[in-house]
Amino acid sequence: MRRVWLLLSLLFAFPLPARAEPPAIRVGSKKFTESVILGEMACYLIRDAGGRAVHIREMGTTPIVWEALVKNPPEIDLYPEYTGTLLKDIVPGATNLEAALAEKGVRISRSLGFSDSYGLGMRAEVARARGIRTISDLRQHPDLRYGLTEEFKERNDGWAPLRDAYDLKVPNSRVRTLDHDLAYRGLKNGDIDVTDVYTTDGEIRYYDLVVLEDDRRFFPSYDAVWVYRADLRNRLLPPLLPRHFEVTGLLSAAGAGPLPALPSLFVKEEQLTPPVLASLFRLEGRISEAEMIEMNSRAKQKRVRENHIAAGFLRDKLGLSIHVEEESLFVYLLRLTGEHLLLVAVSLGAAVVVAVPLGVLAAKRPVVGQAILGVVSILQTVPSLALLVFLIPLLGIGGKPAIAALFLYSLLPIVRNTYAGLHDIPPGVRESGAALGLPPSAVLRLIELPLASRSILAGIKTAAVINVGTATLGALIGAGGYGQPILTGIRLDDLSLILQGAVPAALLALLVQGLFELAERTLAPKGLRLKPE
Amino acid sequence: MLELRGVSKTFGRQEALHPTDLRIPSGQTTVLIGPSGCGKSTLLRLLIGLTAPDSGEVLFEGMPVTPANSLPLRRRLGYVIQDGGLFPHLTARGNVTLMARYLGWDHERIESHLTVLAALTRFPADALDRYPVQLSGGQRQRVGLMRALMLEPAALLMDEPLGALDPLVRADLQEDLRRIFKTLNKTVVLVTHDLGEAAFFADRIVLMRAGRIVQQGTLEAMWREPADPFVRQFIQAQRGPELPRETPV
Repeated sequence: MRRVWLLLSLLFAFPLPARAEPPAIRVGSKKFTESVILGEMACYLIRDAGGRAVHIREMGTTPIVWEALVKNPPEIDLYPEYTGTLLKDIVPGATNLEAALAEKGVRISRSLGFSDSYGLGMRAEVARARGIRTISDLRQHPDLRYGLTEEFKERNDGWAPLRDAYDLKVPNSRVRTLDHDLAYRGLKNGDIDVTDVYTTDGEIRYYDLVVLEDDRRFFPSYDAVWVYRADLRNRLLPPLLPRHFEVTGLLSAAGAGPLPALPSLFVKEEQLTPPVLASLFRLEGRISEAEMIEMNSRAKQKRVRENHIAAGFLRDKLGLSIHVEEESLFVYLLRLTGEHLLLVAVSLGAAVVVAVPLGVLAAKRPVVGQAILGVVSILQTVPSLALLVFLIPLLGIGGKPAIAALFLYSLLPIVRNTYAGLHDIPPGVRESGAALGLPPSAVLRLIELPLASRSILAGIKTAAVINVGTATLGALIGAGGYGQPILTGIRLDDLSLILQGAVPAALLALLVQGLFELAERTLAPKGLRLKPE
Repeated sequence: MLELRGVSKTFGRQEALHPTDLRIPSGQTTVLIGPSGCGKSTLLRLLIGLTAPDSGEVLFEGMPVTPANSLPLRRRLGYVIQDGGLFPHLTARGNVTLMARYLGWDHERIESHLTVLAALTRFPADALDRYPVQLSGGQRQRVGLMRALMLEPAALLMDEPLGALDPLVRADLQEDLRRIFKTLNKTVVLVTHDLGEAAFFADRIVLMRAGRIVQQGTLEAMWREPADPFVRQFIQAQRGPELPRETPV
């Protein structure tokens, strides 16, 4: 028993690895290829200017990434975004986008050169056969099946207003919600006819799709921009630098002819651009739509890694010399295993510490017990994805909300088995302890817990196995682990990547199961394991 | 030694024990007997403080038993239940010595007690390291008895200690038990529903029915002067083996 506590306390003694050290700039990206490529570019540009950068990849949909940028303290400092998304979804109705964002403590760069609009896409042959060219044409074809992404369905520039703007009479039964990458495959297989596309998606060419003409000009323009925290500028300037700039500003102004009025001699802090931001701005106006489509297409159809694509583009366009660091598969899997085990170990350890006492309380106090069992049962019914996303506002993204969610999921099996193990002890045995004159705490420690130990261990085993599987979902909110290659694999339609996450996760689950069965055999009291003679 | 003064107990709407007075004399074996549900087990549990009385008080050596002092008092009473109530995760030795170890007795003292008790209960020394599932029913009951006697209690309370045993083992253990009671000269309170067993052990019999004591004294007195028709009926209802009557050739 003492050894178990020692193990648990060791678990807690390890601090969570910091996602980024303070001076590093954290670049976020959304869960689609183009965003990841742009995120990689941002990192290279920052490093080229001597800064440190960390890319938190594939964080999720717009609300998650935006929230990570504006919350205090922030999870990320900048990410690639689109003006249309900002205008429609972030500050709807704003007349001056820059001013509206400034109110939220966010600034934007100028356009990176291309725009990536929303559109509705269909297979070219289907569209041709039905004579569909524009979105308005869809009205004549009520039998079409729609497969739309969750984000598009929810957005202010998304499905519902589009449907109203075009008077489309599409019953909800003909609209399915799909992951963006899976929607393309559905389109190809003929399971759906229409999906929302990004106009720079490589799949449009690959699958021979047409983007229907937005003949009523519903979609705004979606110019790609950097969005970054306004305070990033100040953080990037060394404390002494502004004074220095004031002096040079004064001197250069003085040398340039007649002395201007005094206040304008000083360069205002906000007019200074730290080298790192200046480096990011070098990309403004440099990426054409064709180039972006080409990059997306290489990532998805040729399976070139995003960092290589980003580095190659910056080398060609801006003459950056970039060394792309490759992680070997072994090191990569080792890192994923480390991340995954950390999620599982911390959440499970905390769950044991909390759930066993709760189970004891449930067994000892029937009224409180029913309440405890009810609450942990309800927690179990919350869909894991919903729980993860629900925890983001409270705990941010990354390891913390994932661990919290896994912790909550691990409670029920352990609480229930602790309760059942104690509850099933024959009353005669329990009473014999009391009749001997043992105080209740000693009865619990010397008799009841050892007798319930098999059941408790079985509960911990169940929790651990569920935990290993559920932890793969942690990647959806940037917690890493085996879910990361699965997620990327789904996005890139790359089975080998999916297997790189799925196989180790399955093996780990089996290993955990095996270890706990061994533990049950060695840790459970011998008298409980013997068969009657 | 033990005394009930106006003690009553109700479970829900069921009155398990009407207000009752009873004195348990020292050094004697008192047997509580009666049909199922008559309150005899409740009475025993009240004596050891596993159940708290609704009214009245329980006295142990003249002192009222309260929740505050019930723990040390229980350590001065030995308690044995029907199936032994052994802790399945502990060996016979572990069961018997649990409380002594908890109280911090030294090893020699524990071992010497254990040796004496094993001899007294005729429990084989090599079976001390077996777990309850590896023991026979009779052996389990002997372990239960040793455990109850380990702290040298002032009195021994037994709730149907032989109820789950087959007849031969039972007869064997009855002999041993009576010898042990006489050897130790202990105050014993034993609950049974078997009149033969009661007669075998008892210095005094307390006959109960529906939460009340109907009559107490010797079996002979009950036989000769039953307090009411129930007593006569109860005593006559217990029959010995009936052999087929020999028919003349």
